[in-house]
Amino acid sequence: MAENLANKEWVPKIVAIVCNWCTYAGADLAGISRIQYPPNVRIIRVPCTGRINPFYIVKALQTGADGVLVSG
Amino acid sequence: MENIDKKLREEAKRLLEEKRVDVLIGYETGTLPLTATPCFITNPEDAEKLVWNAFCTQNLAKFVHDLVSQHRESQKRVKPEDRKKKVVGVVARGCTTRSIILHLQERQYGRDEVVIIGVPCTGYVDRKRLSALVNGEDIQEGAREGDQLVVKTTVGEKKITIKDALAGNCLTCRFNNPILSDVMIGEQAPPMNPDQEYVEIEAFENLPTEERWAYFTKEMDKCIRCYACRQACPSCYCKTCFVEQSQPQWVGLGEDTTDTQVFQLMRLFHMVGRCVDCGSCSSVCPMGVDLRKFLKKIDKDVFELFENRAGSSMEDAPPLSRFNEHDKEDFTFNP
Repeated sequence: MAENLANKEWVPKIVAIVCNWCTYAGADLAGISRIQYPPNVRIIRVPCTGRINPFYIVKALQTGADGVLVSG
Repeated sequence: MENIDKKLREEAKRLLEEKRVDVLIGYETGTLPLTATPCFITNPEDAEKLVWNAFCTQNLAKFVHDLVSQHRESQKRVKPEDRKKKVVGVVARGCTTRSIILHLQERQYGRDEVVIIGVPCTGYVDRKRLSALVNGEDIQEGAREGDQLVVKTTVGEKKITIKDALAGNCLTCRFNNPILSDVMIGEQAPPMNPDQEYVEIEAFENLPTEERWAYFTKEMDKCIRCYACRQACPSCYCKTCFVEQSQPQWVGLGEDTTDTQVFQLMRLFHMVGRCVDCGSCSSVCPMGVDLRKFLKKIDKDVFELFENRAGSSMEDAPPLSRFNEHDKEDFTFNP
């Protein structure tokens, strides 16, 4: 595992916290249209961006995410 | 100064005798030389203990909030018709009145529940700076002579100009006179040096990201998470702080450095538009963490974005609890 990581080019791990009603729908539409999005983005769906606690972002960064995208 | 002490005691005694306040929060001489400590006075005779000098450090607004909320909690067990109101008197300098304004704006208590005795302030002595000035020697005796402090340590006697020992936030203080007061004691104090307020921060902002991150991690490594900063801060009054929450547990209880960073980061973020720069957190920190650098940076950002200084007037609502369609939003496009 470690060897694999060393050989590979570094890619940032991005957590995307997205709104159910807009960005998630957009990502879904992209999927339906067979457009790929990079696998280093992990999507978390929330009912509304108002649901996001600033702690979610800090915790994501603390536990190893390189970036957090909040969209919605 | 003698004169102010005398007037303060008279005023305090009068307020307690006339029952305009149930308890008065002030400062009394501390047990160590060159210190003052908060005290709670309910008996008019005890008003003689009160002092006001350059060693009065803590922001007393914290205790106003504590006493009022404790009293309210205790009144819940009393029949509604027997409930009593408690009025708290407080000796307040500029930053203390700013905190009280913030509490009032955040609807923590009513204006009729607090009586403010305003005192002019020329800054307080930072215990850590004083200790550094006497090379960490044990202070055994001390007195103030005009602009100088005569300090007797175990090694010898030293004269220190008071200005060298003042806390950083006092040197560049903009609000050293009470903004809100029911009774004002003494004359208005001369202004400090607010023009230099952000000089230190601007220098810090100009450093490259790596250096700023290195500074942050270096400071946070000192932190032992005793939560003294939170306990002393008048703006930190949540009944359950996020560090004590267990569902979900936001901050781990171990000694992981990232948990310490998360605690400090979140406390800093809770201070957006609410920090009055009283320096209480830095003064109580046993490890000497430079909390003020980060708090002041947030303060600068809030001022630039919302043209607001926490608690600077009753009319000006805290920036994060109001909406204005003209609020700047360019950070959205150009972060």
